[in-house]
Amino acid sequence: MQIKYIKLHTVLIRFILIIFVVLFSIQLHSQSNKIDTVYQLSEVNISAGRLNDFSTGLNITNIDSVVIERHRTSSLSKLLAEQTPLYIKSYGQGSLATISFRGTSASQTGFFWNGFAIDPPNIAIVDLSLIPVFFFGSIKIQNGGTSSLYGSGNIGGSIHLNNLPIFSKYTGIDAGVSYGSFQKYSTQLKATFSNKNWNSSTGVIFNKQKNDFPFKNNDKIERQKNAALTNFGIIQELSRQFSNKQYLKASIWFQYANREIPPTLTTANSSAYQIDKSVRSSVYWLKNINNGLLTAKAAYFFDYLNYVDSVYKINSVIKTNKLISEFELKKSFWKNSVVNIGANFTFNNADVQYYNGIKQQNRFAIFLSFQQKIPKINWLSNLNIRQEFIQGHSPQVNPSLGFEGKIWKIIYGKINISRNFRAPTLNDRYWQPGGNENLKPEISRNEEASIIFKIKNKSNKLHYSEFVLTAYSSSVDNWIIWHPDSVYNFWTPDNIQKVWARGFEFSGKTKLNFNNLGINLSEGYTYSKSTNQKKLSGNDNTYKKQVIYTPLYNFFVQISFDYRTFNFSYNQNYIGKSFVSRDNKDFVPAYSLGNVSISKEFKFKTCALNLQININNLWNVSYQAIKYRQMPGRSINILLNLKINYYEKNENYTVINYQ
Amino acid sequence: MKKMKITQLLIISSILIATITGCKKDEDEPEPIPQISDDRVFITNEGPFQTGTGTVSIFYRDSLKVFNNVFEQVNGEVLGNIVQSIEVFNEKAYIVVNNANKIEVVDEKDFVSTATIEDIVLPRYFLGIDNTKAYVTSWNNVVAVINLNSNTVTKIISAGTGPEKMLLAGNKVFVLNQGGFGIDSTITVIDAQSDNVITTINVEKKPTGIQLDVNGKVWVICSGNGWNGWPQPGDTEGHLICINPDDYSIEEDFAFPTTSEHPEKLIINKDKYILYYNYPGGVYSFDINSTELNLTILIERPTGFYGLGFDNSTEYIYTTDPLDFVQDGWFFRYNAVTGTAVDSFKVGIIPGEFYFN
Repeated sequence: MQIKYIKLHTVLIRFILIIFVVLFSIQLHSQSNKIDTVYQLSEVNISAGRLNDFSTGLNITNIDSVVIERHRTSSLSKLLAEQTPLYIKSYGQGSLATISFRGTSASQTGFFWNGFAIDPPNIAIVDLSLIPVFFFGSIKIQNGGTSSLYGSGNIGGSIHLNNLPIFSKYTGIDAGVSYGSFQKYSTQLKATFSNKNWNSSTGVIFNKQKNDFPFKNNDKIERQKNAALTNFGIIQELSRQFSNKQYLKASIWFQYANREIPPTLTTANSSAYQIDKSVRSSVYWLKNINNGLLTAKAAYFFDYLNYVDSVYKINSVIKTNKLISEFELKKSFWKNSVVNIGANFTFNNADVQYYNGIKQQNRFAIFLSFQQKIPKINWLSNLNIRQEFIQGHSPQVNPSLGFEGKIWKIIYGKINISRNFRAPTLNDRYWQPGGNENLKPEISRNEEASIIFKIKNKSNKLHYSEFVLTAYSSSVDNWIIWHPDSVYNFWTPDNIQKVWARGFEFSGKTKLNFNNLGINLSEGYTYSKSTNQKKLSGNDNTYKKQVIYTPLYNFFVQISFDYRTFNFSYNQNYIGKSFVSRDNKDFVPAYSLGNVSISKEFKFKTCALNLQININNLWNVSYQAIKYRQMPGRSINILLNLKINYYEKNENYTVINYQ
Repeated sequence: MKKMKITQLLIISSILIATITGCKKDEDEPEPIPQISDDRVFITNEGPFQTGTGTVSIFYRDSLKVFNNVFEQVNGEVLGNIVQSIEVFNEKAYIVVNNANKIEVVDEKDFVSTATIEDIVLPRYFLGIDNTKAYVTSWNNVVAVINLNSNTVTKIISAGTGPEKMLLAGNKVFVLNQGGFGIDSTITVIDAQSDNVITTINVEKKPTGIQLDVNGKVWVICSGNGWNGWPQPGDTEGHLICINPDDYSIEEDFAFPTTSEHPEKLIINKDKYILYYNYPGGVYSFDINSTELNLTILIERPTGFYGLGFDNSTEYIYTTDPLDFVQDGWFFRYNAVTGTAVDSFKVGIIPGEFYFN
């Protein structure tokens, strides 16, 4: 079976290469400008959102729009695993995937869409495998604690998804189909219509994959079983620009997934499956006022999860609702300073069969930010304070202080200190049995400093380079751990662990341009030491041991060549050994994966045809992210998409930079 | 030009740093393969739930040495998820791997794998009947009859909900229907010759332990409905019950005092007249001639124990502590008369059951 599989792939690769060469040679005219460059016109940029304005001293990584485009058939988990040194804990291809920053946990990571935290209140974890990259024009990764801006759960870092509407005359259709190994089909469609007053954007995706990849298990070649996946999503965003400097954006995002849950290497066949449904909607109103901005926004999120395992006789349904409203006023009262004041009200509701009835929770928060440019040295200083009030267990006030600015010539610096927290989830509080209503919030202190090198060369040869080196130290006390109750009959959560996470992060980006050839090089490296600092009993072997599923080292390197309308990208990432038992005896070995992407654009007057071939796990490495959950070997994905663009030039337009 | 150089240097050095520091070698010392001896105890370690593998540890009484993860050391393969129990029969050890739906058959002496019994849904316990036949309880609410020559399932006997521990008394097998994912309160009695169900005895909720005493009577501990430390409406109290295996009549029935504390597991001493069980606070003992349940605590331990076993060769009580269930646990040895601790040893993740050679 293995030989057959390799042969099939070789044939497939050759076939693709032939098509590629043919298409390339029949192409008559090639232009070097990408269609997207149309947006380099004069623009009015309105910055809405605390992440842009008040995260002084923290690092924010913007995922390049070209990279987003290249990952149009991927889930967010795949994009981040490739393009960042962040650790993605994946239960398998298409299965649950969570992210954690700096040796903290997945629930200590913030996840935002349109500036709203979308994590369901029962677990406060977002499954990244269900987030289609295709729906978002802006993906931002922020490292470090931001509870002073966003409240609970923002300890290690956060992810922010958005679409930034543009008000100019434009019509765009983007339709794509793809086919890949292990019977992976995918289609995407996006339609954007806009003018000076309106912007409507619709996105649809549909994926189906069988995922029956071959792998070696104890010298036998097996195929993954019960791993099929169907998912469907639609997003509609409507934005309106009013003449009196008011802006309104309404969004609705529906997502459906039906996934089989594959067995692990140590369990027998599985027949379990899971259905996820979510409806996310939000309204965002902005008004430009004298030297400031007034914001009012609201969101409603509904999440549904149905897990069925006929062998274990489990049929569990979980329904959660979340209602968020927020009001904010940003204003500059004197020169070089900005003040932001706001309030947030969140209502959580969870209907979980393992709770004693439907549980609800109200959260209220007030927050204040103040930013001042320090004269003479031109550094930005920033103070944020947020106080959250949660029924039953209000945390202490969470402040943060940050500075950033130029040190010398091409060298810049950043410093940030903050206190952060995470409130217990509804599962932590109400799960039967074990739920503990006396839990306290987890408290974290975070300190970090960065040195940044920014190199710009006007001779146009070396276009741009940026390197960021960060050192951080953060402690999380009252860390909630589910542990067996004293008599071992059920598990219960308690504030028992204390973790000290410290390490280094390095990231670099270099863009070089030689006439028709553009080279993009990016790399990222993290060293994260995250240890348990509390001994629970005399026999406790977890003391001073690395937190589980937190590799010490991760890195990635990506190089991309653009020659006229041809692109070649190579990506190599490395995920260090990660421990799977808290006493660090058992671990998953390190692995390193290579990925290749080749694309060619065929341009016509108002449309462009793009052919792209991705080879994932090029070196066919056998690996597991979670022990005994096998990941696929080499796979190929071919995609074809057509873009039709119509726009009018010479127009001023507005971009609203949400978050 | 100068700037160019700095950039180049930075790029090269960053890649170098990433490659050098990223590739550190792992060191792991291999454990020696256990020697052959009769004076030993097998311990099953369930392993981490869902993703991990369970293991078997061997404890040598004379040298006081523990060898962990023996099956993988010998056979180069992992056992699978949730190693529930181990039983030795006809010089073979039968390792029941619950979540992998299989039973690994190994040579009792050197642990070399000889066969795998498959196709039993969520197997729990193994009981040898005769040279060619054994029973295995399955959470599919059945008892599977195994042909020990072909290592295949030859017959399926319907039981109650969640059948677990079994006891062979004379020619009858008593199967505790613990309730599995729900609640049951029955014992299925099977004729070990014909493999047919003789009768079903109604006892109290959640029968979790069974022993045969010196008089040939069957003792059963029923945990009752509910969790220790989590009192809920609808909870019931535990019971210690004595059954006459001939006419299935209940000769004794001792009720535990409260519905919020539940007894679990049941072992018996070498001379088969003192019973021991887990109950909040530690291990308690009961003399079969007692006329009332006097709740005599033998081994005091506020955090309690998980596994419980009696070693006839040393007359020690063995208990296990899985700590937080995600790191290697321990087993302890106690003097069965005085209840004083003898020693303790580290084994694998979630040590649960013993087999005493």
